[in-house]
Amino acid sequence: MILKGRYDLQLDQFIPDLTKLVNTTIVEPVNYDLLAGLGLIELQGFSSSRQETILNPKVLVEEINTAIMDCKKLYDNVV
Amino acid sequence: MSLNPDQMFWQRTINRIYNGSGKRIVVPDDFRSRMQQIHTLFDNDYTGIVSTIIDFMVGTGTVPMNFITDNDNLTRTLQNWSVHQLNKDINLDIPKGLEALTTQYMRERFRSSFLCLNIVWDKIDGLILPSKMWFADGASIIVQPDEEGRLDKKKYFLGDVDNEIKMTTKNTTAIIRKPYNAWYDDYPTPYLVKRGVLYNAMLKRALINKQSDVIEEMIPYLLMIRAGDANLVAKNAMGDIEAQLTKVKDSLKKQRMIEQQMLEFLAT
Repeated sequence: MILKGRYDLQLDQFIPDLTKLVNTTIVEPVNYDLLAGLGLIELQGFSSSRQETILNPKVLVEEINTAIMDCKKLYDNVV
Repeated sequence: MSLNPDQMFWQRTINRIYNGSGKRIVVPDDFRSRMQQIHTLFDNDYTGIVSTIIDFMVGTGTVPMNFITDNDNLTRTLQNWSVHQLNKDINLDIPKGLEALTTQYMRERFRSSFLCLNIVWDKIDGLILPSKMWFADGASIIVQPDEEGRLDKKKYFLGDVDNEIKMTTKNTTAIIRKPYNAWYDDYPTPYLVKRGVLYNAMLKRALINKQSDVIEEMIPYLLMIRAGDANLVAKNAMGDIEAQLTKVKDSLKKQRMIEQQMLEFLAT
């Protein structure tokens, strides 16, 4: 494909800025929602100098423990 | 306001990319369609998160279970049954033992959340114990609710309505559990749907697909060759400019001389 234009024409003057479309901030909230749904709750703001994130796995661990206890109850019903 | 040809071109390109993007992300209402989406997600986890964490949950949830009774012989028999006898020699791809069954429990719980445990009873070391235990595919279970809504009349089928799952027969038992739902719910809400994971996974897929559509569409434009590039001069890629300029100057001088000679001739 050949573009015929003024000699000083730059590509970014007529093609939209693509970096906005692939910016990580678009998908980032969805990732946090996915993690939260799976029981990893995001905790922010443990440092004033830079952004830090800690994922609290308490809900996830509780879910696994509940699953183990339910499984044990099921086996208790059988044997 | 009318668009110039360049603007119209980009308008068309953007319309093509975003064609169909008006569709909202909707998690299906019915159990079977939800399970199709969940199977697609586990088969090829486009989120890069869900499958990893569910595998972790299945792995950590698969704990060894011991049987302890007041009678040593009974304890030994049950231990032997749970490790060596259960599901022995079913097929070459079926592992024996209770721990392997627990893995299946965890997988089914976090996929369909529709747990149907099938048991075949047999005599093992003098005791009537399950010789075979397995979880049916929760996604294949059909529920036929009672017209009056009675819990004890609800029927379950595997695959089709000719294959009813019976609670007990001569040497078999079936147990159904829906860990995240009320007793009166016919079909369970899968764990991933209940926690909003499926919705967010579908949303992420839509975003990623759209981004890749845009990139694929734009790459040819980014790579296009530009005629008359100003950088060619800087790169000295236009040949001997001084010589070309002298040539043009000479040509102009020559033209001017011809014009003067013509004017002088006309004056005489």
